[in-house]
Amino acid sequence: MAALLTGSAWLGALALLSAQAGAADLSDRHELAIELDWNLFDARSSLSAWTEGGAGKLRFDAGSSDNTFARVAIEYRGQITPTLFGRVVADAIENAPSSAGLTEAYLEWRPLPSGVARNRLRFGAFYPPFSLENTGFAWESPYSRSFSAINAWLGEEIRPIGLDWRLSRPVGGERSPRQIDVFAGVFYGNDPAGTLLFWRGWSVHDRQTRLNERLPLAPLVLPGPSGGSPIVIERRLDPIAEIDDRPGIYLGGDLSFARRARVSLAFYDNRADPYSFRDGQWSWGTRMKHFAAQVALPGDIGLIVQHMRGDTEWLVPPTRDGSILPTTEHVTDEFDASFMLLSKSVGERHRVSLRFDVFDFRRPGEFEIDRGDAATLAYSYSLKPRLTMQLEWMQIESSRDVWPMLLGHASTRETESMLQLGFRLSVFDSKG
Amino acid sequence: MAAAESRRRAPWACACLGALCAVPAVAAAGRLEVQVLDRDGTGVPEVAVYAVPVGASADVAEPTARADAGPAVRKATMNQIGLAFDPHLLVVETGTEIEFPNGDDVRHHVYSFSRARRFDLTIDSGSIHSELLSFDVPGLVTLGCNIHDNMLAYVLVVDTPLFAKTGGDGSVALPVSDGHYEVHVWTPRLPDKALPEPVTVELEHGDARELAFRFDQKLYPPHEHSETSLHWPHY
Repeated sequence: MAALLTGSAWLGALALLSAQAGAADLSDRHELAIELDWNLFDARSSLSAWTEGGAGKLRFDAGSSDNTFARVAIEYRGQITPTLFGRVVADAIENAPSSAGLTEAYLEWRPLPSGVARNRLRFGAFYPPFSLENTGFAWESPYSRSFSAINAWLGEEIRPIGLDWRLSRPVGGERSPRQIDVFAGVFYGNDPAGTLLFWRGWSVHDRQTRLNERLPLAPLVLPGPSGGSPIVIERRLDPIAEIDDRPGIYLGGDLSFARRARVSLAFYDNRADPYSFRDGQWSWGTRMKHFAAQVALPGDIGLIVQHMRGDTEWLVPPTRDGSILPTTEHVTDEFDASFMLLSKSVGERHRVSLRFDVFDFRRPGEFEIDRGDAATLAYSYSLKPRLTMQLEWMQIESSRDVWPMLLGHASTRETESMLQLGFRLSVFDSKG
Repeated sequence: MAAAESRRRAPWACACLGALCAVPAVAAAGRLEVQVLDRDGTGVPEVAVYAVPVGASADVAEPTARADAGPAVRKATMNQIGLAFDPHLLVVETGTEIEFPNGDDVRHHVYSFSRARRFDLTIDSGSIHSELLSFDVPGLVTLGCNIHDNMLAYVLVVDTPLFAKTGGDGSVALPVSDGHYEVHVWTPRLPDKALPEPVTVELEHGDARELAFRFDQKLYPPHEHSETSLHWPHY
């Protein structure tokens, strides 16, 4: 009943908002879209959700009395001059400490091409152009509610704030369907990136960190002095913080063939100094190589794969005041993750998607920090042109050698799953 | 190279009528029937076919041109609907003025960097009448929208009023008068070097002539795609 009431309240609020937005008579220089998302979930895990400060991988808490969730997302794109655009993406979720905020905000300069090559320059806070899964409204996935482990992590900890340049041009003649893109970014922020991968491990969800948002981290449980009661250290993570004032970089390129196939390679390095500390946050020097490909298979079946491999340097133990102890160790942990997604649209209304993720985070030669896999089966149905129903089942299996040691958790192996029934309503879209 | 074959059809106009063709106003109406095939022998739709009169016969073609084109200033339309240009390929005669109505709810910024016509035009949403642009130089003009990357269209400006696009079966008929013509075919789905050489034909006595062009190279996929299972990033 509570769920129904919450849902109705959100629907009402959004109907009002959409009416106002419609009445505002947006000029054609502005594109605005608003989406209401409401869902019902059944989460199964012996751990509380990481979003609640738990050690679990699920977004929603299994022990929650309210098993519903609501979110509003807004995407705006405006034309400032004929070649300069502004884009802002924001969302708000109910019952969260920092419930609303921007996920992306940037200026984009698209100079008029003087030949077959097109240049694009972005300035602000944005996602690096790595994901082939998050192509929808507000960086959502058109295939499933949850994102793959790789892209869920990009959504959590990777949000460059800086400059991004992209050059696209056809290869093999002006009209060739073959296109090459090269891109490069220089950015601030993202210095603590890697922290969540160590402390919580990989996850599969659709939560995107807002700029300046602080995420909960499971409390650190350290043995008490001389066998006394353990010391529990509460922590919060600011994944998008800049700590050492050293800009990070990424570089990459895509090759595509019409709307049939695309291959992408990228390298990312936040160039963070692991000895730097500011406002309670340590830097993690995180580098990764990323491969992505998508192809339209015969029978109009879409296939997407992404693979990421990298490492992160940090100091153990991370002190809360930035001090370096005699016992401080400089460690390098390695990680990798991959997924394969198959998706098929049936008619104009149905879509079925299947995704399989594998992931690993380890200290080479010492122990596994997080190793596991996830399976996701998603079905969506367009009830109306603007209303989509989504049904999704997802299960994550993982083992973490460090749990008993660091988080006081008894088990090293967990199976967590979630069934979701969601409704997404496009309450306003100036593009019609 | 692509092969082109030409064969004469049984003339349906008698020789004496053919002689009158030298007088433009009563030129015998002939037909050029052109079939465009891919390398598997399947008809290719949406291929531009145009016949350029050669030598003195240009005079002969002129009346047909005016009759086809209507008013003295020729006009054509390149629509923008559903974040796409319509048509994808527009063939016009040199000197044609093109209008760019925007049927979308968003603004478009149409541009061309092609040598035959460089321009950029910001078009407000719902603009039924845009600025008219004159296309005075023959050649290919590639159109894009600087706001919407996937929008792509071609304007082929030809120095003849005798042009058309193939239909769904890959064939088209051009009404032509007697004379010599260089017949060209053009599609954006092939690079220039893979396009067939033009074929010269002579029409007499109001003949109907069949011409077949066959593309040797595999065609690029059409710009409009029917697959829906995959979405494509627009970074």
